[in-house]
Amino acid sequence: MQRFASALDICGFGWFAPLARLPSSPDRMHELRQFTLRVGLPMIAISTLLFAWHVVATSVQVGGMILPTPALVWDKGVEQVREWREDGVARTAHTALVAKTAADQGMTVNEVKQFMPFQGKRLFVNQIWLSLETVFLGVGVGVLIAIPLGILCGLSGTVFTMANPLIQLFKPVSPLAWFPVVYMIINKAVTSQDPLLPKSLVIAAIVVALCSLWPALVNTANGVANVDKDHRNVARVLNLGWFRTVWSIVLPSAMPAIFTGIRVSLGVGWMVLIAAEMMAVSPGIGGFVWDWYQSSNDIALAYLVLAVIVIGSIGFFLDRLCITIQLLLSRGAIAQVR
Amino acid sequence: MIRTAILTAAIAASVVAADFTPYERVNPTPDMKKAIANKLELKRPLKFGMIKLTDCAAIVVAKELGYFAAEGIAADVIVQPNWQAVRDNLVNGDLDGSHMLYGHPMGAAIGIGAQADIVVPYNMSINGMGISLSNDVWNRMAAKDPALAKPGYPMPLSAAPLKDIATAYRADGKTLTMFMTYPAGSHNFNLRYWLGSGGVNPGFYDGPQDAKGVTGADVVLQVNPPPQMVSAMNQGNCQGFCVGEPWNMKLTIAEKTGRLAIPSNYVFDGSPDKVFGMTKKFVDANPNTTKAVVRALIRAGHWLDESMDNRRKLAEMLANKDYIGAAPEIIAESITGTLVYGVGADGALDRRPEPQFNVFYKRFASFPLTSHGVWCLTQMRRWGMIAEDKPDAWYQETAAKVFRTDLYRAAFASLQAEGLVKTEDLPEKDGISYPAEAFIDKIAFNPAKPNDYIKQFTIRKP
Repeated sequence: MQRFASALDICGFGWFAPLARLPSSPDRMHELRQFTLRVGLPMIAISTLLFAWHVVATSVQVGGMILPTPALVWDKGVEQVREWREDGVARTAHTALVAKTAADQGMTVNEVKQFMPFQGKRLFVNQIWLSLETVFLGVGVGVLIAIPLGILCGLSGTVFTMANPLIQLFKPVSPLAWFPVVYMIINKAVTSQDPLLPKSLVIAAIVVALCSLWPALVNTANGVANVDKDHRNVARVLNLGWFRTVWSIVLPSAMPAIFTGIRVSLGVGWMVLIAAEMMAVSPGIGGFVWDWYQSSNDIALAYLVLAVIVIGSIGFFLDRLCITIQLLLSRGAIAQVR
Repeated sequence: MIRTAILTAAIAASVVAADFTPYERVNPTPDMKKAIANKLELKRPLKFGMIKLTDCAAIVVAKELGYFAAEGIAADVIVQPNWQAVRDNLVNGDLDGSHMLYGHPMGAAIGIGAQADIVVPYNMSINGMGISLSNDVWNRMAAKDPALAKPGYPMPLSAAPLKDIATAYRADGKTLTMFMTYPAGSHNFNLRYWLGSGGVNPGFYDGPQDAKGVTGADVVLQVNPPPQMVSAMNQGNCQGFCVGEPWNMKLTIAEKTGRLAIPSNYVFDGSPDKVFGMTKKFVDANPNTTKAVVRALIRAGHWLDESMDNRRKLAEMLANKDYIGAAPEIIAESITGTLVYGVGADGALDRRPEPQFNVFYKRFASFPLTSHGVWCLTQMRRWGMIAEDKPDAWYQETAAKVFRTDLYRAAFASLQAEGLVKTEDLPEKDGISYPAEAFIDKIAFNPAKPNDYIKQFTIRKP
């Protein structure tokens, strides 16, 4: 039971751990009180927010526009899921139609499918998925560049002194500034009619990579530079080669710092992504936000609030995921993470 | 527990958004038999671009009512963020055809922005633009002319008072700024024409590479995408704009932060506006597909001008968030033949009938008249986008290269053979002249004499 409870702690379900410990705990009242506090207090905060939101939305009008209530936003969320389900049904029907057309015309199913592929609606659920793909692609590329560079900077003061001004120069550049640059280059560079990945996705991912690689780089450099002197001396005594030193001494010691960097990068990437998608009109969540914003319809506000909540929840979930991985990689370093 | 209770209460109290009945789709699945019979070159869905403006109607109708499908065309309609993206995406092949401004293909033909061969086999609309002014500018105008303070102020409205207002703005250290949608575009030329007719200089361009066009300007013009016009005015970034619908109605009905000063049909009645552009490369490589596309669009245009009932159905179609997404009642305003100029202090709407505002098919509106192209070039020369004088023949040749009347005529003839369209809807000549009454400044336009025409304007690039 104790192990289950600590596993919950690691996965970010720490608030549930006291309940899991309850059967075996010597002080059951304490565990129960812990659970009430850890679950009850956030619940009170959430309820207060929802209540205040509801009161404001039902009593205040902004220039004749009715603000969406929590219930309306919830409805819109349910509507998105329903549309997603209906889309699945339509897809099945379309497959049947393609098969029938192929039989009628004496063509192969693939020929017909190419001519009339399934044209589903733009679905929010799919858009979330696409956004996740984009952010992982972007941050992945960013991290792959950042970590080797960070290790070099951490190991050698010369490299760091060379790179530092550049890092400081590019770190604060907003995705909105990168976007036009990336857009113009990719638009001209990608000439294929049927590229491997959609152009808008590539543009958004590159913008994400450009903005998110800096935290990983700086953290890696710091982590590597601060590796214990004794550890390095061990490497020297053992007469390890440069590569072995980095691989078996420096990297393991710097791992917590590197992961903190990746975690911050992913957070930055997710924040940047929405802006990048809005400008690239990529069909991700940013595209969803942009579509509704451009529609200039009062009902759009409910969808925009829904998007804000979904974006926040996914950002929170991604962060938890990173913490969990980090904890699994370096148990005992729990205090460091928080 | 508490949360559930609140949610239940909230659901009970929530306001349900106004719904409207869906229209019936005739045939949204492409007809394979027809695709084979039409010998379509491309066995894939065609990608068509549109901007969130009501004059994209023909493309949406052809898709939603199945005119594309009836030709054997599978069509994807993709909303574009701004006119620059429309141009880029068409030229690099991401789009097979698009809702465009007539200035897009004309500008591309003579190297404004960048050179490209875009042709127009179909004209999407005439008229349909509106010039709006902020309440501040309007109040300053009304202080001089009491007629403007009351609903029903007479048309056409003169732009002349803006000159003094611009001076007053400058004295306060501000600039009177008006937004339009694209340099080589309908809204820019319409706004410039109106300002010029009132003796207000909107600024000259110093040749084709000057993207700003503010030399000598009384009023400074800037580019802004259509859906962001209203918020720009609300934030005070501009004091006026020229844009298509539903954005003027969004301003006057929903936001009430400005007035519709003058619809474009009082500036130049019969003015070209949106065209359907395709690349020359596409048209040359896929003649059968092009013909099928134009056939579908002609039928869509015919449907649009057939009855007011169809226009109401159109409003419902366009209100879908995959197209425009604005409230259907705001979209319905102009396309069912009325415009709201503003809202009085008592909340009464100054609504007037404007049947000539949105024309899609009548008055040869869907025919790609070469005179549209010549007029566009005269305005480009007038404002300095074209830096030097050109012979009259150059104007005609350039316009005829872009406005491909042959493609329209071929598609029309085949529809005529099937009895789907009437002969009187096809003009005899490829270009037409406009009488002096068509223009606010009463200067007649004869496409055969573009140089003489340009010389009659008082405000023009020296």
